[in-house]
Amino acid sequence: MRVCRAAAALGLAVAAWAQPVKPTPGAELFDFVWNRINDNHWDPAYLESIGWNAVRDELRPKAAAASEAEARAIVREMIGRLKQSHFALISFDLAEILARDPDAGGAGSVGIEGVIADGAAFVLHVEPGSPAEKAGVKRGWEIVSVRGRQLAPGLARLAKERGSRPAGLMEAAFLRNRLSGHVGQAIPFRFLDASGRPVARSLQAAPERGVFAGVGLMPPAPLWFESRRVAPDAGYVRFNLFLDPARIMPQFADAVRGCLKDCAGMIIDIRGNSGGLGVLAMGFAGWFIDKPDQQLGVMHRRALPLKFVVNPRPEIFERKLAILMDGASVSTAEIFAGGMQDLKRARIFGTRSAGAALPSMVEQLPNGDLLQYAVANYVSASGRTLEGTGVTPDAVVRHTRQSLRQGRDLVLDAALDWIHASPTDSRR
Amino acid sequence: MLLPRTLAASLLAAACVLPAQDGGKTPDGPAILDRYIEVTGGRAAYEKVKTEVQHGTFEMKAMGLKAKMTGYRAKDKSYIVIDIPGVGKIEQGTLGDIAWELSAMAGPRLKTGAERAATIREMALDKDLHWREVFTRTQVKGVQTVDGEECDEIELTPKEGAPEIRYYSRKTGYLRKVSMVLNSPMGDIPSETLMSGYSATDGVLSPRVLTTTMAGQVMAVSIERVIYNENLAEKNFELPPDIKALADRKPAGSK
Repeated sequence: MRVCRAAAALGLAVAAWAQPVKPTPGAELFDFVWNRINDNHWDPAYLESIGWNAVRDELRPKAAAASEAEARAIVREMIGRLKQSHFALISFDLAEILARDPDAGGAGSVGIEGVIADGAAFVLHVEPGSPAEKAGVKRGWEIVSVRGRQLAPGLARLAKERGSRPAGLMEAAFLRNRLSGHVGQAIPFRFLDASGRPVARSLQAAPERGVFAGVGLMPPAPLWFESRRVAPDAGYVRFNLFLDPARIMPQFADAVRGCLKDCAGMIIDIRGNSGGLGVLAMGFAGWFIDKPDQQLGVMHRRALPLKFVVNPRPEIFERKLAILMDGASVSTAEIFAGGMQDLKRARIFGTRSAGAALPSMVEQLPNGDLLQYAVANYVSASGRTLEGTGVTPDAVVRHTRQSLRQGRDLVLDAALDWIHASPTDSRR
Repeated sequence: MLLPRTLAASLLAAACVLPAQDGGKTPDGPAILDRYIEVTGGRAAYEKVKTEVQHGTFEMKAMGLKAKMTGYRAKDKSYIVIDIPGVGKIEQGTLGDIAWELSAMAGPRLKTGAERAATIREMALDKDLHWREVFTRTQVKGVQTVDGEECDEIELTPKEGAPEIRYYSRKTGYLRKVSMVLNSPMGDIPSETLMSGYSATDGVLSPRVLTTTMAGQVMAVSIERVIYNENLAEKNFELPPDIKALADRKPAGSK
């Protein structure tokens, strides 16, 4: 018994002696971010070239001795030394703003797609047959509050964070979260209609449109696809994700084939498209490019570079192609648009894309902040790095408060004007 | 996008059952390849095989993907399809000197150059038996251990395309590993396939478990059933309409 106690005491002593010194919160934050980037950056040689280890040696002691707020600034300085986009530390308070409204959280939708113009949120699309349409909500109405919460403070905070950059992913996520809810939940909205008069509506969230699609471990998400003529000689296609090819590709093929004979142009609307399977960009491009061995770009990962090569289809749509894009066009949507632009096969309308063309990760840190870091680099056909910089449209077109209130979609209008300007000319 | 190549690699491995030798000293290449034929059934058994049907599963565990896989082979033609939930069908085939791929994601394409040659080579029903017509050079590189088993390492150089390295068990003569670089439009992609679970159908042994590592992804093919000499209709090998349209546009065999 005595031996056992002695052994136990010795064990405790050894355990106590072996207990590592717990790092300070600042050091913990610093180590987490440094290691994530060190372990996942696509180009270890680049990290070596900028002295990534020396950066740690220089800044870690400062972070270890700093307050949480100061440590955050030091970590941001470390990230800044990368001189690369799409690495970001998103502070906890901003993360809270971006998080889903605690009263929401379901997969329900009222059928409103929002857009930000002149610092305010507006209705851009009202889904046919949705609760919003049934309640008479119109394009161009300003969305003032949802569930009694004003949108303006959140939008102002986001605007401060992004500085001079155009609204993009964070704003899109903010709006999507605020506009969604549990299926069956009655969500109170306050709008200003086209003439600026206050309008209150209680909209009951319905299941999101589309069918749930996913791949492997990827959580399923609602996927929808629509196609129609927006002018007698202009086809229009819009979808929200590059997923479920067995479902979406035949629909896309039908839309293109339906336009082969009599369309002066086609419009592919990937505004708000959240991306998906990268390979699908090649599949879509094949309907518009007849020359073999054309590349949309190259994705560089640690393992090896992968070229995104277009497979021309037996039938090709050879006339004008417009792609509509915005700051919430992400990933595969950017790969597709950027590649088609580089190959001079499409003219891009709208605003700059999100610059999130890569499998960049967003991970929650021990202190609640969010870390975004890219794990690959995508270079378009012309040698542009899309990550962080995004795709800049050939024709930058922004919504305005006035145009939205008039019920107009200026981006779509610009694409149609271009198609009709010289309909027999297939060049960009 | 890599799935068809992976599948091709795995099937290659399944079919790539070539010969070897016995004993302690280093054998020459032809002896190793010929031994493989002998230990997996013998020339007479191989010569009886006129058609082949394979049923199995394809899996990428890390991504949560699993799919049924079916393949058909006859002289000068082949067809294989996997249908992955959420991804759709990926089909690949050969017909004479045409090698093709049709992906629900990336669309249809005719293979050209070294990729075309490799696919036709890999998918040929009798390529194991007639390896001398497939490879112009064999070179024994040494001895390596694969999964704890001592193997002869042999480099095989085809008429067209990059060499591949194979590892044959010194003890059993079975093919245990193939390392190669797959030529594809997406780039030259190194791959490594491990073979195990040898089982016999009509006196011919073949590996039933093939695990391919490529571009950091691990893909497993499990062959559950092999049927030889079933009467296969020509329809099994017909070119899909999109592929036929591309082939009609392009002179057959053009590179």
